[in-house]
Amino acid sequence: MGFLRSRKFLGFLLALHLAVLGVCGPVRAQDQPLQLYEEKIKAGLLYNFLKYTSWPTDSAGKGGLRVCLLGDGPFDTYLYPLQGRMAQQYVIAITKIANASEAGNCSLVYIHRDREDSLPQILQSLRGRHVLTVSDIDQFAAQGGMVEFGREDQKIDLLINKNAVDAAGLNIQARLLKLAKLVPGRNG
Amino acid sequence: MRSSDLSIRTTLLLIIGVLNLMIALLVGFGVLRSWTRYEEAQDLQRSTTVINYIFRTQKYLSLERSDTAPIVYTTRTTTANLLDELISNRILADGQIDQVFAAMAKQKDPTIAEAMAKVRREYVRLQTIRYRVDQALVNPVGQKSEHLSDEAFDASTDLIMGLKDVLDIYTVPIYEIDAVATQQIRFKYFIWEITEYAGREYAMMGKLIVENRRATPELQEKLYGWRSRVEHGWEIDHVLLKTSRLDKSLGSYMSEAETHYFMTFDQIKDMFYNPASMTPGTPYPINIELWLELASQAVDSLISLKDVSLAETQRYVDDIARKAQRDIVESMILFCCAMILSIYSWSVIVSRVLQPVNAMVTALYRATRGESYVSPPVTNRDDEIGKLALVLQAFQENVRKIRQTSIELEERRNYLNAVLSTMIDGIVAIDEAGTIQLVNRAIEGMFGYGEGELLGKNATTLMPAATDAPPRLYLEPFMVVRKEKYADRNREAMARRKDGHLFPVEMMVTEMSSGGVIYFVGTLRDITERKIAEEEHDRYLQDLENSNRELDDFAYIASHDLKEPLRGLHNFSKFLLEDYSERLDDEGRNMLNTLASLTQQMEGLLNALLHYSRLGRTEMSIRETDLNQIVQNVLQMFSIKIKETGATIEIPRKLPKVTCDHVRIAEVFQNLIGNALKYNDGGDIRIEIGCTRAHPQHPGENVFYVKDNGIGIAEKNLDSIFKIFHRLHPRNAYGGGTGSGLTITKKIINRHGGEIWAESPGRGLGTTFYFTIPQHAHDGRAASPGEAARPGGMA
Repeated sequence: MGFLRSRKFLGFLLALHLAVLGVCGPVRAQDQPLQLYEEKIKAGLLYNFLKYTSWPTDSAGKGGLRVCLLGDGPFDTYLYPLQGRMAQQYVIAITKIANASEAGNCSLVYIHRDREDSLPQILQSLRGRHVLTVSDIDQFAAQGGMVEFGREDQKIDLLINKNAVDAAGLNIQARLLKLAKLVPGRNG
Repeated sequence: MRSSDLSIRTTLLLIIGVLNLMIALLVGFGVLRSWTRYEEAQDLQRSTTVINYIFRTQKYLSLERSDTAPIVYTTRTTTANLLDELISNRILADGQIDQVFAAMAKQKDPTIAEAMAKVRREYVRLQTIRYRVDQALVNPVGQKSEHLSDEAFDASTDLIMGLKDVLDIYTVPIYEIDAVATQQIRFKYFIWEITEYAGREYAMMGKLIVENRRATPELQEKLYGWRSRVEHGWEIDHVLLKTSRLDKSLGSYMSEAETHYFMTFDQIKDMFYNPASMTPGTPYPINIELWLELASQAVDSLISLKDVSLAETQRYVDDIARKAQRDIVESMILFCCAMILSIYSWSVIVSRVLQPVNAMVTALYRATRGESYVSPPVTNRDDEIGKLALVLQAFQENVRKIRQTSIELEERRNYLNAVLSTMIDGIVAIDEAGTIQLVNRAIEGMFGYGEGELLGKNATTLMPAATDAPPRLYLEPFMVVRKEKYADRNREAMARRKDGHLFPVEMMVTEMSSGGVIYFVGTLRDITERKIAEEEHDRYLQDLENSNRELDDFAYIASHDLKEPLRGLHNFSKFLLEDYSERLDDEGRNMLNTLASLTQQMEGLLNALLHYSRLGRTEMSIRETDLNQIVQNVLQMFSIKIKETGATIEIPRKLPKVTCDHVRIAEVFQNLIGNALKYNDGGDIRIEIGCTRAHPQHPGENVFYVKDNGIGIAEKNLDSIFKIFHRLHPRNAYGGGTGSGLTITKKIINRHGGEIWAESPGRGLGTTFYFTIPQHAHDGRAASPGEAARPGGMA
């Protein structure tokens, strides 16, 4: 289909971009693009996790890769283009969920910062499921999350709680793992 | 063998040969094409392998380039992972480029050699740069040369581009082999281009991250240029994906690679393309290792797409090769089958058609030259040739029979000619127009013509016109046979000799049809002498009749006229005895008595003579007569005598009705029965009256008889008893008589055209008188079968 070639799509992207800029009005002007770039990088990273994580055969693949978004954030905007695309030859589906109990058939749950308060409950409810948990909440990995998009020296940092990943029966390829700081946090 | 026969055979063989050759050529061409295809496929396989080497070399060179650019700016510790990758990529690149060198060394194309020479130069240059990079790695970060980074970038890029040139030249011949493979290679080429320019992008971006610099306008221009190449590549590959039949197997891979590229480059690279959006001094929000990993992973997606595509192409090419191989086998089998079929059909035509036909033709040819016909050994076959041979055999048999028949016919003709020419009767055959078609020698002699002189002449030459007959009647004797097939076949006519002399002929004409033409065949006989004899005979007969009649007339007149003076003599002798007996003595009276009795006797003789002569003079009254009635009347007349003598009259069966003069025939029975009663020595008189059809002298004819057991007749007298006035006994013995009865009887029977005769075993043994009354002499009516006498009984 080549959505990269689609001018309509590019126009749509531009409009979306402007809308996001409008929404994020209160943010400082100099910080605004940087934050957007960070979100974009995170979206790119997330795709890499979809691509290089392997789920147990009974959990993913049948209905495609299901990415569930818990909470709200500008990040979503950059993730939506993945809707219907492919990773590991599976179709990606992106849905917003209101709470963790809806994450039953999700392959990956992204928890926005606005859900930081209820994180323990969320992680608790997802325990034992083959769900990769990703978030940019501080200390996410340490609290039992699996992949944390952190910050260090103004750069995106990748933290992975290998125990939690292993406990969920998931496997992240070494080429991603080697880029991350492995956090000895709880396993969920 | 005539040349035309040979040429037909040769032509036939030639046509079959050419047809077979064409089939063989066609199939052979198929084999050749499959072979060529196979060779092409093998070329394609080899080329695909070489292309794979080039692509892989480019891949590893590209990865090396991406690794090199940032590595010269980072410390050794932080780049440990990168360094491992760099070294690994270098080794892999070296391994692949060695394969390319090995493969290209075999290439004779000068343009390739030239391009390869450039690649070799660039490779040497890269080696030098690598050495310098390795040297620089040990230096502290601040002392690293920005220049070296660019140099390394350029050297890698130049080598990659050099390899691209080689690829361009190398792939040209492939484009001519297979369209799909070409499309697939083109597809890969553009994947490579995406990879290459994306690689340049991310190498340059990595350098910017490491240096924490913003892109200069020149660099921006460069980046935009590369980006447009990438986008162009995607655009083209989307088209090529469909045309190269790869969309099924590669569609999802391409979609994924595209997504990956988009997520990595399009989303992230904005900050490099749009330096104004970045606060000066602010670092990029991503560290170099993460960037390099992300970028290389995106590139990996592209590369894996390319690898899958390469595998697809390999499979496709292998399929072509396999198919070509199969085609070759199939074509070879087909070729062998065609050849076998061709040879078989050739041999079948030669052995089953040409040879038998040739044998037949030879046999026929020999047969026509009079040599003996040898039947070709194919007559036992049930096909057309076998039938033809049978037909020829039958034909030959017919010819032999015809020849045999013609010999026989010739002999027969000669024989018939001999018969015809020796025949005394003349034979003449004419057609309906009267033209003479055939005459025999007798005709020529009879009419005084030379041999063959009459043929073609009209029949009128032989049969002249009667003086007062119309000319049409010349043919009348011939034509009459048409009207009355066989009636009146024998007729007499007048013929004309060559000298004009007319003579009588008896001719018999028959009609015959030969070959649809009607002929009349006349058998002519010269009857001049017979005519003369017949005329003489008729004349004698007439004379005889006249003399008989005169004799009868004379006898009648004589006896009638003699009776008057005799009666006078008798009367006067009676008067003398009555009136003058006293005057006469005894002797005188005796003499007078004798005179009277003699005159009386003479009167009896004259009466008999008169009666006899009257028989020849009066006409007979012929009609159908019941002989039984006549016999009964006669017996009635003799009834007193029969009673006196006690005679037994026997009629074994009824007598037939006959056509006759009944008065005369009654006289016959009267005479014969009277004689039977009279000539008897007394005792038991037995008389049998009958009719038999079994008499040896007249078998099948009614022979009447009167049989007695009387005195019989000596054999010497059997004929003389029918003479007039002839008596076997003294005058007054057996009651006396004139001796004219049997003479009259014979005359009556003769006048009826019959015969009369007597049979007697001897004196005292009885007599049988037989007589016949032929029926045809009167009106042809014979006695009916019911009244016919049956054999047996008194026969």
